[in-house]
Amino acid sequence: MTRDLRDALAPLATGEPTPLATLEARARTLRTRRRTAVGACVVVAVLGVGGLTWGLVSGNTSDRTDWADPTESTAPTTTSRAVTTAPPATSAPDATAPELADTAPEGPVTTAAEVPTPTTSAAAPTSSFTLDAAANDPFVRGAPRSGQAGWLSKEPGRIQVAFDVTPRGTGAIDGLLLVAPSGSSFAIGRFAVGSSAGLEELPLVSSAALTLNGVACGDPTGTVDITEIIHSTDGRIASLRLAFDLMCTQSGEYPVRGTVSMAG
Amino acid sequence: MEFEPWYRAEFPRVLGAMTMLCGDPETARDCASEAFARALERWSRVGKMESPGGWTYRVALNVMRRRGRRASLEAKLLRRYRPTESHEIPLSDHQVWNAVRALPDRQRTAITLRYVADLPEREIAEAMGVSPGTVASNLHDARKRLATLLGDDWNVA
Repeated sequence: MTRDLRDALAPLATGEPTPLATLEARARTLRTRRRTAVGACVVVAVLGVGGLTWGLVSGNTSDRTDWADPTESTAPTTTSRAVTTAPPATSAPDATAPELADTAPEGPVTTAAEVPTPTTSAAAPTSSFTLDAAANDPFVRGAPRSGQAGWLSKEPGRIQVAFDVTPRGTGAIDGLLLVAPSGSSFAIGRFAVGSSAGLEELPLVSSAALTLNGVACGDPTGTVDITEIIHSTDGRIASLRLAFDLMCTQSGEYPVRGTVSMAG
Repeated sequence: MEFEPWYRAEFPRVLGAMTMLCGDPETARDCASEAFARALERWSRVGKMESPGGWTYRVALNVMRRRGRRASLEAKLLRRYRPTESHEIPLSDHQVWNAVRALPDRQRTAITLRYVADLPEREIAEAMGVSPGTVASNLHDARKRLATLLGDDWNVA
């Protein structure tokens, strides 16, 4: 005997309606919410038009440099700690972002007359930063809108890099990478972060930490590649390019990838 | 058209369709209630439409999709702290339930609005926001797939 699909599905459509009073209360809430939203839009529009009018009439326009995307800036930047200048093109051709003021290395203030060379350790710190966070993550998406990176340490056998970035989505990422292989010097190569399966043969990075919106992301695993390194004559690092590919596991799993380039 | 009689006649079918589409009776009831509350709030306009039912299904589908996205995000964030909740299947015939639930999203929506909500193809098209031709194509593909999944004992025409 043939059975009918419609008959089999019919029991689904036998539920009791929600009481009408409940529905009416819900409709009232919706109406209130809609009116509030409309009111808010009107207030924002009035304030926006008023502010624009005031700005045009008074001629008091904002300093555009306040709005500029640091990653797109080509001019030297200043901070409360140091006046910095762009380094020679040969030492950091891709330097585009300001240094991380809190983590800038100790050293003399440099000026245009004291342009450093790659062989000195007191050169002006410059850095650039790119990041490709997981597209499926709700907090981080796309390339950074603004970001900065800086040395915490670049002694022989120990590189420590801090970065702080706001991606195009909402939220912010703070990161800290400490590369400290067993040898005393660095070379181009790959280092493992945490305990990634299949990466046991790589030298282990001592520490890596990431936070999303101030929340720690557990113990990231993955790799850090030193893709370019230039040593100064005294053995210190003059410029460095790192690429990291990490997997965070604190709230689900998502990759965070990026590169950091620094000179100085 | 009066709201209350229309509501009492339509609600069970909207609820059944949402239950089949989202798989969770509680979420389905919430989505259906939200859609009818919006219809009630705008009844002076919705009640004059040619097909208030089609409008309500469309709103319910949108609410369900939005909640589905939020629920999957929450599930992802909470997965580490508590096991995934499992819902009791609200249909005695598990074979039919599983077969319809296994259909691709558009085909499942079309077949549910046709057989659970009993909507004509024109209103299904309005509810899904696609052309009637697309609905016909989806229904054809869904029936073909269901015939394969359920076997010869079933009439899926």
